[in-house]
Amino acid sequence: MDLKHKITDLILIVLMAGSLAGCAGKESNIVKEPDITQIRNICNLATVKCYYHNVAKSEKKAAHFLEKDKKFWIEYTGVANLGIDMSKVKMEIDGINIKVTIPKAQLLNISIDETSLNDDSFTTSQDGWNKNEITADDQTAAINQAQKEMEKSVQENSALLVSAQDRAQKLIENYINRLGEAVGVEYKIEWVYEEED
Amino acid sequence: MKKKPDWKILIGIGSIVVIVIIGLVFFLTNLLHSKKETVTTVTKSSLEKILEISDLSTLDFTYNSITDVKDQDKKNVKYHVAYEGTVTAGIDLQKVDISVNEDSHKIVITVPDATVQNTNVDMGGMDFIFEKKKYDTETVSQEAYKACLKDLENKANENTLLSMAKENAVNAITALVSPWVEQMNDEYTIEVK
Repeated sequence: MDLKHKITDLILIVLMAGSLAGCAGKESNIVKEPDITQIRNICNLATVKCYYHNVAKSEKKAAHFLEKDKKFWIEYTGVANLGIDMSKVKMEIDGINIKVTIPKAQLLNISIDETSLNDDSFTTSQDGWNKNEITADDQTAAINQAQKEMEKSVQENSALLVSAQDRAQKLIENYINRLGEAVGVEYKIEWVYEEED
Repeated sequence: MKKKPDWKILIGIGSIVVIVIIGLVFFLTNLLHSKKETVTTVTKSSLEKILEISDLSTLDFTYNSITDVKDQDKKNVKYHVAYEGTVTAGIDLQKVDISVNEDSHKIVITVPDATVQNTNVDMGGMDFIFEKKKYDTETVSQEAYKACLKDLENKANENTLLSMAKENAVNAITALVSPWVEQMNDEYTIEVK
């Protein structure tokens, strides 16, 4: 076989190998079902939803020549859901007497009301000769700190937590009374308040 | 005859040299001795509104993802944002229906269909990669937050989550009702569906 044919065969082999490798590397469109490990079974009864008006006041120190310390404020609505862990509710029935153990209310989750955020939610002070720019990382750090402070404020508001527990008690009582109506029994409920560990 | 030096020109050149040297010194000082950028935040928080709700949440779905935010023409990607989101699903406890069939001595507890109760993105935990520095604006975080929420809503497979949430709710209500089941013997049977 002459040199020309050898070279042609070699080129054909390389091209074929390349196209096969391309097929092997080709990604197919896969629609992912939620990974079972990302799903958590919970049993929380949220009884009170609180809306907080927050103003996160931040200051970014000047770090370079001719920069000024820069203030920026972010105004938004934070949302806190309070309630109880229903899996900790215990019921003991003895004839017409029911003893219900109810846990203390807790902060279940906090979030940010997206409708409260827009360009007007941000206020910044003037720059010096050298711009001290407020970056995305600065904004998220400020929001993170603000949410932590809001969380602390909610957890320290004992009146709010008591109110959430009271509401949970009313909902459970209502449920028991409806069951009682169904079986023709008027239950007497004794409430036991679980102490924290 | 010796030519007298033109002092004006010499002073001018000297001034320029001094200014350049001062500028270089400050530039190098800036470069070598720049301080770490620090941001401190103080929050003023006031309770605006309280709503009474009755959400029995039975499922939490955590989703870590990345979304791209494009310009107004939807042609060019401005930046990519990585976020952690949570979708919470469950039922309204007040909509649980309890009915009695006297003929068959059966108490039927009907659990309502589950709904998505909360869609949340950790705004403080968002990470950014900008295609160009100019897209890192002073209000970019609110745009990114809304984009992440929309992305989470699209990606969470609602049908699967809601059917699982309802199943969990049925199990939770069944557990609540179990003390009655033990008490009743053959008088009544309870069905939770």
